[in-house]
Amino acid sequence: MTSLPLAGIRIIDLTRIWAGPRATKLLVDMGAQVIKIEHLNHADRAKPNPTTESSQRKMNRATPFEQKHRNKISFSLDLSLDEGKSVFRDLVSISDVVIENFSAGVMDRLGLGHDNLKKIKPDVITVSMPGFGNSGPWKDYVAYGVTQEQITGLYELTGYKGGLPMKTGTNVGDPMNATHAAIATLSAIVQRLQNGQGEYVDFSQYESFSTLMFESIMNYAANGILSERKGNESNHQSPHDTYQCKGTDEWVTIAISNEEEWESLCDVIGKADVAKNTNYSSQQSRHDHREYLNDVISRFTKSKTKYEVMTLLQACGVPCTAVLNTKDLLVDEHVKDRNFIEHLEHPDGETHKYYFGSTWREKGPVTKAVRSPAPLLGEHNGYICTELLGVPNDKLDVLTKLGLFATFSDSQRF
Amino acid sequence: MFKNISVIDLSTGIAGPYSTKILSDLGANVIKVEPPEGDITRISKPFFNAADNVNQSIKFAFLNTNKKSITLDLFTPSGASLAEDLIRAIKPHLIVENYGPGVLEKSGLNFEIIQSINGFTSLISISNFGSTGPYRNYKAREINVQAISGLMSITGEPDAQPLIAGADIAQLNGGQIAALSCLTYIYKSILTSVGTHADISLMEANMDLLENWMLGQFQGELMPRRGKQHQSSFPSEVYPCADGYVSVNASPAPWSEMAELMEDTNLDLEEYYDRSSRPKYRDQIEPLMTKWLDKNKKKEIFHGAQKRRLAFSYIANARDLLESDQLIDRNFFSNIGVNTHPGTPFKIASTVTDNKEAPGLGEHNQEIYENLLGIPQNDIRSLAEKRVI
Repeated sequence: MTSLPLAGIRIIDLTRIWAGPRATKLLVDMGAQVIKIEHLNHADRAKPNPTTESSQRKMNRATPFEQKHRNKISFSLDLSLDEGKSVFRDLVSISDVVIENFSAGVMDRLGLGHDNLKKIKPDVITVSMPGFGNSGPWKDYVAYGVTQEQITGLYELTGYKGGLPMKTGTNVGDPMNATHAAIATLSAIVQRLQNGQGEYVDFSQYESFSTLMFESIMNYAANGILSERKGNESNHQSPHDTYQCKGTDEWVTIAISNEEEWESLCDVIGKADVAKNTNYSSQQSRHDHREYLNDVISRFTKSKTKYEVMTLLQACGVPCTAVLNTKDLLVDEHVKDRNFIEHLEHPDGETHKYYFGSTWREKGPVTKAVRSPAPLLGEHNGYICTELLGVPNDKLDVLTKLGLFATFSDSQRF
Repeated sequence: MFKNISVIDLSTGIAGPYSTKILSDLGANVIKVEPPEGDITRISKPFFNAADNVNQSIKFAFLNTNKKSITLDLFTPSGASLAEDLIRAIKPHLIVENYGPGVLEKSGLNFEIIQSINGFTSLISISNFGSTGPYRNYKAREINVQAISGLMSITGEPDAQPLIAGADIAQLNGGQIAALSCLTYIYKSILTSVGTHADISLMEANMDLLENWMLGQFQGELMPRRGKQHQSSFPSEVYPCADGYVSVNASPAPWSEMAELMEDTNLDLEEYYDRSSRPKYRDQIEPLMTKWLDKNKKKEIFHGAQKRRLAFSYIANARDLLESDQLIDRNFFSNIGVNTHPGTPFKIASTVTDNKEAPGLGEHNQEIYENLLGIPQNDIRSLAEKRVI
């Protein structure tokens, strides 16, 4: 088996919740070693009860934690104790990247900010990703998941025409900022390959998502035009909407951007006369008559299932897709054919049903993206202390008795 | 530092160009190879100046900063061999394309040929559905990708139609994932001199945005469209205020801060303090809150709350971003040419500071074809007449 492209990169991951853990998920899937550091009393997951290994495994399986922490290894380390900081520094000396999404200034207060880490590992890459960045008047402001799409303008532009602003169902701010953070991390790694220098990446999630809102920002800056919520209408395509199909809450989307597609659509729905009508022969005129035309299209789509409509229209070159819900995705033939959903047998013998595979793949035989399940809290303490850091056994005993590496099974004691 | 990294970018539209913009803004040498009629985004609305829409597309201007443009019709008899000459001369780490499955190969160029010229060159192929599977040749635009990847089914009100997100999320997210793959294979190529052919599916990249919610679905539940319906905690939702909308969130600070923020002792009751029982008092709390919100402006509410460590936000528009003291303080915006651009999603030492505007169509034909490839002027003219370049 050839090694994965990012094999050999070691990342210390202090991030929590979603954006940070997803950033390192994208890197661990491609072969980086990601050491997730959590502490018993501030774990990035709920405490299982009882705290046996099998109950921990079960609890992981039932939470989003599993999805974002597959392939990672876990080190439970108490950074509030001096001994914990000392072990952390030793780990930094053999790592490439430290990434965190604490509030601004937390790492400095722990004495583990970039300037301190540089003394231990001169070419270390530190990625700090608080909500608003590590400088500026808002640096101490608190941001949660949906904040980014609200404060950067996506929320303002999402919604029915004339209706209220709305969130995206998935809170795209977190996962898309995650990808930018993974890109930033890898850019700094590539830069270091070339110049041997470390890097401090002050990653503002506010800036990261604002970049994606470039169209409305630049349109206002240049033309003074503020975009408005326009439901499913488009500047570029008409018809452009969702159309109801047979069944409850079943829909397709159609997006027509030229006359050829328009004529094909009319053909399939048996409305050749509408295609010939010069009232509808341009994008603008179709837009102007969208209520009537949407009605004509819906009369066709309502008589068929969403998959039937998609298949019929795509066969004639019309951009049309079914609106898949979260159940449909799991049984969709295309998703299945590409093996995007993976299964994994856990060490306890139970098969965890589903994971999403790699967000991209290499051409050739499909390889599994999920190599190991999300780790239990502190599952890899022994590997990290003994094999990576070479902590002698007697010292390890002393540190363990301090509660430095406490895991869920120690929760009564520490 | 990224100056030593070269990319031949055959992609058009949004996803591919966004991935290579991330590289060109880091200083990589990105040669954008356009068909003679130009990248379709050159004529895509909105424009900087509605009266003159040649080279005035806002999208194009943003997505193609710091790149060079040459024209080449790969699908002409001499197109592919000219592309091979380009690969020999530029020795790119990457070639990025989004023609669709199997289309590049029709020009006579493919990954094996690229490998035989330059073993370390990776080919990044971006398509709507990936290069395999029953939907691979389906056509899709932004809304179609948001639909089939599951995003639309959970956006909007439960009793109304599914809703598109108000920006080109699916294509930009695909571009982000493509950029990450670009950097992965640049890294691998520098270390091992081995190139890779990557297959990026916008559908999969966008399904992956649902990762946080899928475990329940994997257990057989259906994630509904919830609209603006609130979650179990209260208050944690969007309310109108005097000049727009704010998102109210009574944490992480204790409830007493809410009462002080809203200067209302009626809010400062002990039974409201406990987060888990607070939803029971919604009918008492909500009117007091909305009375105060109605009188105050979104930015004042936001800053007042945040100063008390209450994680409020407000619903911003483009003007709010351009006026944001935080973005201004951190020099987020830059002027490139005569236009204001939002900054890069992050800055490192390699980030370009002397930004160059998106190139005109074929602006660098002479530099590349004549100076780099050494093609005589007469031959260039005849290639142009045959519409090869």
